Amino acid sequence: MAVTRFCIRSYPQDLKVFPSPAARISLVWLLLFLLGLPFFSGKYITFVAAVCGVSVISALGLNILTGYTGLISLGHAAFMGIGAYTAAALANKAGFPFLAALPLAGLLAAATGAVVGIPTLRLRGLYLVVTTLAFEFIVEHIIYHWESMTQSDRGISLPTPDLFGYTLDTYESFYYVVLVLAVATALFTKNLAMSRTGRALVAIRDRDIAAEIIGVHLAKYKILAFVVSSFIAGIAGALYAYLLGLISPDHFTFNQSVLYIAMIIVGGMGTVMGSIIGAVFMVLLPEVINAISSPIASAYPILSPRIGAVSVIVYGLVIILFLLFEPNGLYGIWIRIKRYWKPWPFTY
Amino acid sequence: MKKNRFRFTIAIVCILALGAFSTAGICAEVGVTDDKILFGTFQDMSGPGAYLGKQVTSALTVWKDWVNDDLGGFHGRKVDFVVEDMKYDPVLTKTAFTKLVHQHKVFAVIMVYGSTPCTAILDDIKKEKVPVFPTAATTQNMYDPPIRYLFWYACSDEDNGIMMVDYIVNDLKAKNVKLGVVYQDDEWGKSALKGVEIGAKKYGLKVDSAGYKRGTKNLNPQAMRMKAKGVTHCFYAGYAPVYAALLQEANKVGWKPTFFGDYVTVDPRTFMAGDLADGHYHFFNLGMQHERVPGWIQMEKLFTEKLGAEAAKEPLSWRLMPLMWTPLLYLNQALEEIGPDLTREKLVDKLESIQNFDSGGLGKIQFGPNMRKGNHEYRIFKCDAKKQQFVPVTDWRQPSLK
Amino acid sequence: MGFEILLQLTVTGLAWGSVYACIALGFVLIFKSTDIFNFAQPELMMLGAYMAFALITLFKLPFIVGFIFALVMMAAIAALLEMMVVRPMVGEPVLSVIMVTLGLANVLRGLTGLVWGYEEQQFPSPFPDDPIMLFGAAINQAEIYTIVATAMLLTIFFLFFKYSSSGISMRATAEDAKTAFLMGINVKQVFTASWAIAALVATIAGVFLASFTFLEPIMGHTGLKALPAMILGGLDSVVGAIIGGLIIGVVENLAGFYLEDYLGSGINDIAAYVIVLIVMMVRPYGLFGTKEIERV
Repeated sequence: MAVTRFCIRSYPQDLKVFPSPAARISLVWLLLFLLGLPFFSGKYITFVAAVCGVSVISALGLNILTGYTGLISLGHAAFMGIGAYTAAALANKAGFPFLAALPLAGLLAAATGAVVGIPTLRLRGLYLVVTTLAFEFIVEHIIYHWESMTQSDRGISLPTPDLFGYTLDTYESFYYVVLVLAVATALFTKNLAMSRTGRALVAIRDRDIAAEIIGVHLAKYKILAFVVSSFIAGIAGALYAYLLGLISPDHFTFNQSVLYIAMIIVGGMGTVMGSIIGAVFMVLLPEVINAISSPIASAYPILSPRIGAVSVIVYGLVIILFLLFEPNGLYGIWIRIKRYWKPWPFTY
Repeated sequence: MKKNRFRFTIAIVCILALGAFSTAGICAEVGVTDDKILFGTFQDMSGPGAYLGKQVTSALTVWKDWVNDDLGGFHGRKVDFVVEDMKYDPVLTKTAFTKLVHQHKVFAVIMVYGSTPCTAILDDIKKEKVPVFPTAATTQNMYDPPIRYLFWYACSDEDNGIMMVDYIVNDLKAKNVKLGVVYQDDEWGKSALKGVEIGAKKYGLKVDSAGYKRGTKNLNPQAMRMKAKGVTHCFYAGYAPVYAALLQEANKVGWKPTFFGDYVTVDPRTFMAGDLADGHYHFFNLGMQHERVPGWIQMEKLFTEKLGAEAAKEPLSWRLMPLMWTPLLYLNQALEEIGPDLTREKLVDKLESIQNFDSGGLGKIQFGPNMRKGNHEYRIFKCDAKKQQFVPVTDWRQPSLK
Repeated sequence: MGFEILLQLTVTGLAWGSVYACIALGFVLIFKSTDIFNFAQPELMMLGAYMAFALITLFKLPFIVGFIFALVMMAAIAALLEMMVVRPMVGEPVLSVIMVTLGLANVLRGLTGLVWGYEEQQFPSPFPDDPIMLFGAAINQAEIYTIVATAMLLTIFFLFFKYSSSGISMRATAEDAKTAFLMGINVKQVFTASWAIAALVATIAGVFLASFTFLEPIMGHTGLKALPAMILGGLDSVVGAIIGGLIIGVVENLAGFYLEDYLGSGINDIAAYVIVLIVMMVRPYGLFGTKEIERV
């Protein structure tokens, strides 16, 4: 299912994080653009970019579990919720600083990941999907009803985060924190995929019995995948909580879990780039649809109820058409374009 | 690789172009130019509350056309508004609010609703100092503690819960009362439960309750619980179709209490239960169309004129329409009285200083310094299922406890 | 009194369980023959209910005629959807196909909102409101019909898969599509047929659900309850889907009555998932699912 990397000529090259100088140069350009973004765009775009960043981190986490290891989880939003509420409770009730609350949120989510991982070792395919779905709903219920800790749907607010004496009180400053962590997560995932561990995970995905026969400890690696993935989800959840300043149970529902699965599938399963593109795409899609439909709704308010329904249809259609055109996701389209231009102007 | 960079540049240009769509001119206050005042609103256009979004945007359209064409604007300025879709989602509400404030640069946000969405932007309202007039969310944090820029105008289920016990004990003089509450178990429903509990404590009564999750359709366990506890008077806080389902379920299992529905059940969809809805009570803070008060007659005239007779039917059949319309009338008076020099601070001051506003029988609305709760008085109605009407059985009254 | 309450809760639970069972049956039918998990199944249910609603109220057809027309139309629509949207994805990653059905769910929901609006509507239920008393437990006539219809569906599908040649070819395709193809079974037809049948079942579920309650474009959310039902019974088992649905229906009704004081309101909504968690620990293939034997 993974899209093969093309233009690779040797094993050492295959093991590099960035396969070619061209890739490195374009990444530098991208990074410069991302660094400069808050300077030339407004507050709103910076905020959306920060939401994109958090989603990228979270999607990368899910990609480790679902894309690499093949364990499909509909409970990703629950892990994010655990991270977010841990951070909120620590910061709001115990006065923990940002730097302490963030890793603790990740750790608690990881611990839960291990607890969920162990009993699900025997489950495969859709049985696992629905079991993680059950976990999602139960976590939702607990968040909703543990009022003394989570304040239910009144929401729990977080103080403005501090980092080394700087107060991150604007979307712009917090955007950079998210950016740094997103880049770090991407590099970590990319490296993980190329390590022994990463190859073991992929082996489990492709054929778990075969993997076991060649000496991959199934239980260990499956639980590891759960732990790492939920740790990242926890961090993403905590960042999300700090970014929004106030969280309520509605932020971590079943729909969110489906959205994250959608991100990695639409982007391209089992690839770092795919998760990134997919996350950005799925966050921007409703924003873009809104950007187009809102002026129409304002100009012709009689049409506005129709426009709402139309945007839901467009949202669904875009997903269908993209996947019909390229079942390997957006990353597949990217690869296809690259491949098309490589031998240009010759046909072969 | 070149190709990618090219695509990327296009993407950047697109994003920048989107960002450049700001509409505000240069003037003293954001969103106010010499000839226009720009308002913003976020509505649920395609989520679970899309019905509300539809009604509110049509009310806003009528208001805009009325002000611009018939009233000639305020001191030479026409009004306009932009709508952002928030799909009843807290994050989208936050982005919608940021977009309204920073991209559209609106003067004020008007006519918004939804507990979860509005709660999500409380901090932003404080930070941006943009007047939000009014919000119709059913949670207490909208007005307690008061936020200078946030005005609240809706029905408080806590008030209604207290009024229910008052009414049962003082007016109905019922004996062997067993109070119950069936509620949607969110802030909205919990405030109803709290109200009934406060009232019950005053009169030394006991309350049994059964909550259900939003979206639940099977109310059999709730009805059975209430029946097993022998509840005789039951408050219901939730949506009208679910209320109709509860009435049917209660009838099925043979539980026959007197129901008190909150303001949301004053809705044509309550009659989905047919005769079962007959004779039960409802709390409401607005005037009814069939009462023929001047406010309603004016609304009917304007809606029919601006939307056309056919399109006006649906918004006019929505019993909660005055909840949206009264604040707009109130806003008109404020904008007229402020004069040509319009600022956000002046608007807030004016909104809290208007006294004895005459809505033409649509409802009572009153703010004050440090008082952001716009509604204190209610009437109790009785449901007449045959005529499909709600008939007032009391005059305007307040809960006996604060 | 205690026993009567228990009986009442169980009977109502069985009626709701039958609706879950019908939806779960739709999931299982598609999964069994195509290996695709169809996220749009709850939306098919909703669309079926709206279709019947439109035929009955707009064209003033009698209930039973409108219902049958709705069944036919839904089968045709589902077959078309399969041919246009799902068939081009054959052989592609299964997850991508699942994602496509999710997109399809959005499109169907949006279309319903566009045509019928988002407000709740009353379904013209043909069943009288007054309940019938059965051993001291009240039961609505709509509920009786639901239980009966589910029992009939169970029998029909059991016989269909066991004896009819189409049923056998569907089972063969589910077992191994490639071999079935080589044996001369028209696999394409089997795929289309399974979608059409799933839509039929979904329409039945939708019409009954709407008769109990009301119509709204987000009624598909109730369809999510079918997931624990089908997992509980075992993914590839028709009998399992039905029994799973009934168990879930009864358990959540009982939990809602007896456990709310201890575990908070809304416990009836997650009871189904708690059951699934427990059963999965003990039987990873559900109650009636077949254990896959894996070979390298």
